[in-house]
Amino acid sequence: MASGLVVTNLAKSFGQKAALNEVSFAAAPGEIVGLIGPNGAGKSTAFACLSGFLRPDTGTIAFNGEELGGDRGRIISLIPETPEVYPLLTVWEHVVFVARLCRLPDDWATRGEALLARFGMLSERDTLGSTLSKGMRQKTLIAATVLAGTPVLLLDEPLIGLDPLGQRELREILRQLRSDGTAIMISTHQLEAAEALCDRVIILKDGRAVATGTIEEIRSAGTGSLEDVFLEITG
Amino acid sequence: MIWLRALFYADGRAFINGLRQIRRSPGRAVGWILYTLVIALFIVSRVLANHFRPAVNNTAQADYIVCGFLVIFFLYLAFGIGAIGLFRSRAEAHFIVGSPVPPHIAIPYLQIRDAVTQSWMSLFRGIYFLLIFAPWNIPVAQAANNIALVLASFIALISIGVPRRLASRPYAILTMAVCLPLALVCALPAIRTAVFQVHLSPVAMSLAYRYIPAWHPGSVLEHPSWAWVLLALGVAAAAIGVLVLRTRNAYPEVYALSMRRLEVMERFRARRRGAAVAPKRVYTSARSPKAYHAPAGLAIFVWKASIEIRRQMSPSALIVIPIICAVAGFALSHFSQSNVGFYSLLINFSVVGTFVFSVRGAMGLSAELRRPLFWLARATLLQRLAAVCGGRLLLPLVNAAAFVLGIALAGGDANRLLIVGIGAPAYIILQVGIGTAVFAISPRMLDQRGPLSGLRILLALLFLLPPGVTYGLGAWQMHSLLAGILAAALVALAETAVLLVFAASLLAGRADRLSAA
Repeated sequence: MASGLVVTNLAKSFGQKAALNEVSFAAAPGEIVGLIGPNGAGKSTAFACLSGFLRPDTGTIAFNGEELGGDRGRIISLIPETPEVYPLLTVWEHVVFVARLCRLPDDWATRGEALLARFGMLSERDTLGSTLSKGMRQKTLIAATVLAGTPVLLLDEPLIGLDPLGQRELREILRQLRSDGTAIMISTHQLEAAEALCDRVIILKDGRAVATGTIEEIRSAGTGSLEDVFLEITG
Repeated sequence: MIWLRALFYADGRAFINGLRQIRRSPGRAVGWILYTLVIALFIVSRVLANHFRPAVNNTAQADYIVCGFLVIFFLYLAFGIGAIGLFRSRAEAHFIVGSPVPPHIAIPYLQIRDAVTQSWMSLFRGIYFLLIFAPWNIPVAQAANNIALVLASFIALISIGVPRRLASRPYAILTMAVCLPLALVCALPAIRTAVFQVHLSPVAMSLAYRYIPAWHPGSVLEHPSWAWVLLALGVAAAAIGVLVLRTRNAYPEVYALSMRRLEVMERFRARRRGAAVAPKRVYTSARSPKAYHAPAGLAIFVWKASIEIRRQMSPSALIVIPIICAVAGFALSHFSQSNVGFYSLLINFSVVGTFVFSVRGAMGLSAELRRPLFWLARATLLQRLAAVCGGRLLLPLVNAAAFVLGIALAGGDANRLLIVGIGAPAYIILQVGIGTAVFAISPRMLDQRGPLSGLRILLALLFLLPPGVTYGLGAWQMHSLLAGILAAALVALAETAVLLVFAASLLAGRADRLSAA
């Protein structure tokens, strides 16, 4: 039985345009997989299908060998490019909201506080969602999903709009989650970020997976820098 | 002239491209065609029906409308409040300010465009209410004149905004000194009419009879004359004339005003989209105790709604609004015993108010559905939607309870208390269900305001039929009003459940619909 997230022949069209064309990939627990590709390659559509926001035309999505139905919020959580929090709830109230929504065991408050401390958010516990920066909103959502015990985390363009310090903090958090055993997928345009963070990458072009492997494997498929190879594959 | 042609060209192309966008989506195009047909049919049927109906005296209603408009006009002129501006976007502002078009040509053009489009949009938004609530017995010529007068009056109202805001301090004080008394004077005829209509008290009626002249400004609607339309347009022209004189070099001021309006609009749109915008009340943090007595499971959405309400509304508003509802309930019970007109007015107001609430509430659903935490629970979309609707019902149900309490305090008859006490919550819940279902068909704001608002009214009428019939049958069969109203409320709840199932089935796996909202 394959462990982690396994996606097989995922396809999604909008009218005549095929946004995803029978794409298959996997993300094991404790692995960061990068979904990279040019604009319009199908990265966001793939994430929307995985998280249940969009209904795929064909294909299966399984976790630990079990096929997932439409309601998969407790297994796969998507943090979109614009991470939306509740503007009128404080950071701590987000933790309370998730803990009670998911009927977590009684130690949720201790675990919640530990998570906020780990993500450097404890000083912001009373801050309203409306005044959080993008980085802090991302951290709030990641803390909430980790607290809920979601084993697969998808981050759509997580590094866009973050300052260098925010990018470094987020990379550190993602590495911590990887060591905790969370399966993480990130979509990005930033090749250097993918290189620094991802164990494996999938390159999408026109809704098809045109290359899969570690950064080194991808690099060795062509000549020159990773950027040259990427442009060669997707050009 | 060449400058005006360029400005016309840009606006014309934007309008045509907007129409093309609708045409590209066959479903939307069909919806808009049907909507236009229904409106046209409705107008034709009303025109035909007017031939067979006897004339009815609508003087009081016309007085209220005209006095209300004049009071708003003079108050607006006195204080110049509100988000006003002429540039529609930052891009437009940069194009025009950076172009050789002189301000005294561009700004009046933008003002006329703003006044005309906004007045048409106001008519467009209010067309259902106009068609439903306007008197049935007026001739076609009078109706045409009244619509023209409404449009011209809106144009005048919108045209005074920018010149008033750009007025220097002495002129602003002078305007306030003149317009405030005028607003009061304009309110007097409506107050006099209301005092006699409600039969307030012999003393009040005597005072009103003695001190308030028997003016009827509503006669401008009842005895139409194109002179009134020309007068309203003349006011608009005068305002634009003032603007031309004032704006020989006023790009910076108009730009600043426009940017402020754009910010307000962007905040409003962002809130609807679900972006994290700051609440109206200015604060950035709130004490969050470690242990909340928050309910578990999906009921947490109601807890969340209660926190949001507390933070969005001032403490005084939280107290005052239920008190107003209780006073309205008291007044309904007290005055309706002697005045059927007042009773029907209040009932109409409550029904329309609830309808508008459900429309606005459902439009905000896309914000909720876009948030990752909404999807985190182990629950179906239907259950989640029901929970969110539960949270949205919190405030209206509290207000409805206050309304019922007011009726009870007035010692109104038990039957009425029963009908309002059980019927009003069921009606509110049904309206939220209808709003949610119609939202799921197309969350686009333009569609919601256009064809889907017609559909919403149609559904509101259709879905009221089964509870109405059940009420009649229940009360007749069991000889019990309580049984009838309970059965009707149960039917309304069942209908709401069906509507939510429909909404959930449309929204599941269709996030692309939300991205268009």
